[in-house]
Amino acid sequence: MKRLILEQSTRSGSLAVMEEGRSLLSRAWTEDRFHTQQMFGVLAEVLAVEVARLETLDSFGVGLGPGSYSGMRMALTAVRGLALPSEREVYGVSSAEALAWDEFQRTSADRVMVLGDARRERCWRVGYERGNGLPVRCTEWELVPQVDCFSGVPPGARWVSPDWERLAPQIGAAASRAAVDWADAVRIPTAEAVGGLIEARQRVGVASDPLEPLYLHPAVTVAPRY
Amino acid sequence: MIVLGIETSCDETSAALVRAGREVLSQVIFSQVALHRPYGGVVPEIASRNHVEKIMPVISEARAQAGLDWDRIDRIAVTSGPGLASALMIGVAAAKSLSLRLQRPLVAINHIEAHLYSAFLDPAAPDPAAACPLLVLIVSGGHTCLVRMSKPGVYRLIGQTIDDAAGEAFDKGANLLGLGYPGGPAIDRAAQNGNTQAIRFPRGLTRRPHHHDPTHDLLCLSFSGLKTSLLYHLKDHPLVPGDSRLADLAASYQEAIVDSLVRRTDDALRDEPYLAVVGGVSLNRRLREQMTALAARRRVRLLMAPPTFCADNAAMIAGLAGSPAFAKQPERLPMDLDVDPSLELNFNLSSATLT
Amino acid sequence: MKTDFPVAGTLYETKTPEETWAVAEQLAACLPVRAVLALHGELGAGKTCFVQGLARALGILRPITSPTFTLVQEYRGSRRLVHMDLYRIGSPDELLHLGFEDYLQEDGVLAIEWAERAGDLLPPDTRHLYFALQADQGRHTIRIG
Repeated sequence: MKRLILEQSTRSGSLAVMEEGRSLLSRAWTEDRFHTQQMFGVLAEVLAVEVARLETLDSFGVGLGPGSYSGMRMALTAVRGLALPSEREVYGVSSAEALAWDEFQRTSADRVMVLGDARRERCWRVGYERGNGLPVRCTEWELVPQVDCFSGVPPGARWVSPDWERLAPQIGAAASRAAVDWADAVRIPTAEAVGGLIEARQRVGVASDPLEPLYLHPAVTVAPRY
Repeated sequence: MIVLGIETSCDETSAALVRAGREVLSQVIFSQVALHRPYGGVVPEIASRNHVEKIMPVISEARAQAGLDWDRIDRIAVTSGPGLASALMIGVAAAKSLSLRLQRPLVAINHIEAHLYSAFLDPAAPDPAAACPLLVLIVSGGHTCLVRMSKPGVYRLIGQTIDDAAGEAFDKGANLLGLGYPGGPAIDRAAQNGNTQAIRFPRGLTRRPHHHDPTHDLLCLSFSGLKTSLLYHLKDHPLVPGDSRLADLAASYQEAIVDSLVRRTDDALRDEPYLAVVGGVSLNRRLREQMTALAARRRVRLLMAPPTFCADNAAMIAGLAGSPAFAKQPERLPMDLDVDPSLELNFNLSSATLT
Repeated sequence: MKTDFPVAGTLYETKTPEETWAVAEQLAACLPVRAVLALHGELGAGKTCFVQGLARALGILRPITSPTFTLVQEYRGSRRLVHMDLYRIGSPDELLHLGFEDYLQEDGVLAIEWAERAGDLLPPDTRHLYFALQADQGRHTIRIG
């Protein structure tokens, strides 16, 4: 089973072609505008490489966020378009779950809290426990004020964030109070982590998450006009 | 040549397959209008979310309805502007991925030019080259302009609104009259048995030096005064539930918009053999009636798109991209195509004969 | 020579569109190469008229139409003008998807109607202008915030 995976929930987008959990090829880029330009350029270049020829791809994977709306939408639309004509599989997972999975592979942590910038002085957060090969979500998806972003969580969790650098000035003091070590907490979800998690989930028969970006915010916060 | 067209510039998610620019093999439109209705206008975030969800099913359905294999598609065409940036982006991403997957050229289409082209989706319409010179009134929710096409793809701007688009004037008027959104069809219905002359609303017709050539005038339309006039009228004479004046008010308000459009079109007509009226507002029954009368009086042939191609649709995108007369060229660097929310028609500014 | 932008509290009164244009032209002359103007006020308070004046001052000849449809209209003259109408923006987050931060990074004048919808995304050096139609109809005021 050969799969092409796109992950673009942060400005650091990435692409990987993986087979049986092994990465055959990967690319990374940094988007600065609208998330349309570089991803498709990289995609075109990669599809011309022998190991990534479209006819050889059985499946497509995508990180569903949370994160940049434009980035998630572009990546999801791209894989669905590539998969459509021959009805190939598209498998989506949360980028936060991919981060947690990656963290469980690399460390001995038993619990990982993922924290992200939800703008307007708020953070989103979600927690996972080390399960039997797969992360098990142990909290709700939450939107919390930045000042409280470490509150209400039992101590001992390993905190990671794709947005740590942007958040640090606002939540640095709160991190010190909660005794969270954020010197080594910056983690960017990658296509390889997304691909690894998909592989692990499929091994135990877990289906794709619904193929829509994880928005967390409602589409509209203003009341209807009448 | 068979073109797959994709349109997501505002609140309709649409895909169509069109052969040789004229023969519509299939068209699917997912209209989000009911989702935006409670907000009295298009909410960009609602539009983007629904485009993402619906775009692939809509494309898939258009392909299935046409009964053709994917490899029969020769080109992929997509609206790149004008429109809502976050909505346009979805269509462009879908088009790029299918262009990669099917190894077919990508054609970027200007939404306004596609509306203009929609008149030629009527099987009875002449070949675009044979219809020139052609005067076109483009009236929709976002655009109101008069354009002369001297040959396919060569345009002069003759007139335009200097504030609101006609469709916006309908929306704002309907909102003030409590008729809901979208305003065009609501006012059209409410005005059915009303007296068009009950209230004399202003016609905002002015001229100003043409910004492409100051030696000529631009025929201007303005609808903001009309909206204010209705606002003040309702302040002085508030509507009560079940008010019998509603039909007269709607008819008089609609008449002000229609009459302005007809008079400006009359002013713009020279000796063109054809007049086209296109865009969502061209569905308005009073406008159709009055334009038909104008065409008879001025002895021009009136071209109008069939009703399914008046509002935003993908058949006009695929049609324009596959029209031999317009000879649209594929993008040389398709993966670099960006959206342009403020895209204008490509006006020819070289000649002095503007009006 | 460039004069300073008027201090907060400065009040202008206009009776005709031409007078509103004149105020816009006067203010445009005091703006740096990159400026954000937040225009506050009800429907009919003169915001769009003011933007038309700005456009004239920036050498933009084409008509300034309502940005309601695309939310953003971009014009190029001797300087760049970006006219935004945020009325239908539900939350500041939506602005990020419209490329709001990109517009802020380029030179030009960014004139924003219903700017309060942008929340904390407005840069700190945003200049706020308050438009009002006075009770004795026909008299408009523009107050520098």
